Amino acid sequence: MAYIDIKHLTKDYGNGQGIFDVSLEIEKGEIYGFVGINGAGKTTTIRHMMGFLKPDEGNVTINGLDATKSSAEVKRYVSYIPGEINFPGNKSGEEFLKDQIYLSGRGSWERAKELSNLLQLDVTANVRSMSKGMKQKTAIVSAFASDADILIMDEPSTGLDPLMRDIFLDLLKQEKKQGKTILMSSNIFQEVEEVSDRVAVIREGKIIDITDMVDIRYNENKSYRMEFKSLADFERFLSLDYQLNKVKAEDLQVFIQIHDKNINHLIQDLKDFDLVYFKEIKFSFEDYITEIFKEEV
Amino acid sequence: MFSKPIFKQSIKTNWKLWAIVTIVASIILSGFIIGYDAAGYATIAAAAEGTAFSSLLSSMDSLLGNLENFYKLIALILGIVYVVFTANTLVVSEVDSGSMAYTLSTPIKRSSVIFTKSLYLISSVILMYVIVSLAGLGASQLQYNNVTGYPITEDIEKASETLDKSERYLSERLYLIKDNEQAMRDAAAARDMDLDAYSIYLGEVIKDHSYEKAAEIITDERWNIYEDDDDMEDDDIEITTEELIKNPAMIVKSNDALTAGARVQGISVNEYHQFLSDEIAALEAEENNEKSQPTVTVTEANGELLLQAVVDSSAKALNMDSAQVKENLILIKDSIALEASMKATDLNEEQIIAMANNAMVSSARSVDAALEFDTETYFWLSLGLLILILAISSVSFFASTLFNRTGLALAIGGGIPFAFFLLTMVQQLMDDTPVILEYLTITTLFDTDAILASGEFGWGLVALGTIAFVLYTASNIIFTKKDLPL
Repeated sequence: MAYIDIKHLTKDYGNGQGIFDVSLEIEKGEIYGFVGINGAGKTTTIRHMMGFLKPDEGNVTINGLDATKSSAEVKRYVSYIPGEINFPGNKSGEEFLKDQIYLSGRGSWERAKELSNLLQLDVTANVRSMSKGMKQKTAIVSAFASDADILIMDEPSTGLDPLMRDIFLDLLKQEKKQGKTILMSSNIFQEVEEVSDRVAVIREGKIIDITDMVDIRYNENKSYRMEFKSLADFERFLSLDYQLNKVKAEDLQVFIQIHDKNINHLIQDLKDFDLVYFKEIKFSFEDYITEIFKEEV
Repeated sequence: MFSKPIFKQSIKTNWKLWAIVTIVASIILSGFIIGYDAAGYATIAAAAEGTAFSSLLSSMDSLLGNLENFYKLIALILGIVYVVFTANTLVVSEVDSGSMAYTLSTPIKRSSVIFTKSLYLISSVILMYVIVSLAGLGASQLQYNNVTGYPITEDIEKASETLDKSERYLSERLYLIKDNEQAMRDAAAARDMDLDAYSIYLGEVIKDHSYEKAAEIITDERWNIYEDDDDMEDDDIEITTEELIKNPAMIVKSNDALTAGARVQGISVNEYHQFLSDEIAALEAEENNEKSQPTVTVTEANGELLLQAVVDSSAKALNMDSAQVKENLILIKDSIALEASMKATDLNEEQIIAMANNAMVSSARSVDAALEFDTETYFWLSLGLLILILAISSVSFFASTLFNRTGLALAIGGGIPFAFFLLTMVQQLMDDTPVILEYLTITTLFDTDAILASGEFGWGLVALGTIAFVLYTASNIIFTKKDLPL
């Protein structure tokens, strides 16, 4: 059984709202990305993992414990950043962080101070008067300072400026090195691409794809785009045996896909042609997702 | 089940409102008690008789009755304000804002969270009303000395100045006033009586006090004798002051009671014994009282009519208003007034003077009675109010756990209690309200009238307690099971 095991999870809110037969297996020590547009069902799935919602069907087990029935025990391993952040009580950030460390029985104030410095968070501010970004930082500090085995985060980087987002992603990588298991939902594909080991894509409550990021990051099939000076050259190239993705005859442009091991062969061939330009088309996770969504539609 | 950190957090978030409501309620209750004007209310109530206003005043003829509006309206609305807002802050606002996610992402069970929060609301309400009740008790004691001793009336105040003794000391030794002519004059004037009427009044009060002390001692003795006797009910064992007034012979049988009674009277045991014998004889004489009578006899039945006639004729003779004479009955004894009254009523002079004295004494004694503090009644009023507020708090708390949106929870959990309050207000302030209103509000179950009249009120309180228990239990179950949007 996987460390976090979601099996056939279904919660039907009617009118097509909800999640349907969601199954995910998250292994110990991996960073798992969870992407989808707003309203796709990310938060609903995460709320089931936290035991806040009761499933209509299926279940979630975390470290062998049922997330609904043993919700309180599960919290011994889990730290959480909610999608909408508001802190209980009327106290300073420092008091909140200390209370949270005390209540969860894990983590240390030293670590929280370290993280606050790193994220440039003023912990003396009252939690009620904090800006969105400050709340987000406080939530991040609280989650990372708690030293939990599992981090479940619902869109944790919203409200952070690009600099802080980089620091946050670095922190994620550090946590992974310490063997933490992390599930992070997001609708920003670049950040998921940067840190995740695997990514599940959810759409209208259903998982439509689970991708190993290694396949995308170290994809040995690359795409190139080139334009020829003359029609003769253009036609001569087409006659060669390359995998053509797209041909724009009016601009004398060709898009091809080629495996890294054949790249020398291509360059040899191209010596005989008169080119306007030749460039690699970078393939990102975002393109990949876009493609999946297009296929689905 | 109980979570200390959650309890602490609940206190930290809610103590301010708690403190404000507790202080305001204590001050208002103390104000009601200190500002109570026994003689004044008696006059107003008499004047308002028959008007719509009288239903409001009917219960004001005693210190505790005067508090009815505090219990039914002011304490109720203050309690509602506290429980509605606190119930809201405790649960639904944390769910709605999402801050509950932080509480529930720690290894504290949902059931302990909600249990601790219900416990906070219940115990804070209990503490609030215990403090308010004690404040009322304290105010009454400070103002009238009537919780642990005899009420300090105006005559005692005046006499204590004359005799240079403390009011409390004097209130337990009223015979000291009787023994000093100057003190008697001053005290009588303070109570708007002439010396004649005041000495009758004082004699009666001292006699009652001595009977009261004797009754306590006889009851104690009987307890020792009958404690293990299953045939004797508690009520049968207890001897009340009223029983002794009817049958003073019982005192003679107990040496301790005799001593205690004599001490109150400030006389020797032998003298007291003689006094009691006279009393017994007088009572017997009253029973077979068929003395030769003048033309008209004053009986209980015609007493009030005759008094009115005397007052009216005196007023006419003195060229005054009847109400003025009624307020100052000494005027009846004026020789011109007396003559007019004798003509008007066919009573002789002696009878009219006796009647005037009686009227003055009984009005003074009813003021005294109004100032008496019945600890038992006060206890039931306070406990009833507490249970009522607990029942209302359970309604708000239930709404707070049932709904996920603050607005809806406030509309239901605040609207229902507020509707109860409005219905109660209509009932209290209007004369003839439709009976159906009584069934629309749970405040009816806290029957202050029945408590004040020592009637049947227990089942109403049991019902309120049941409502509180059921709704708190339901809240706990619902919150533990429901889906939370966190």
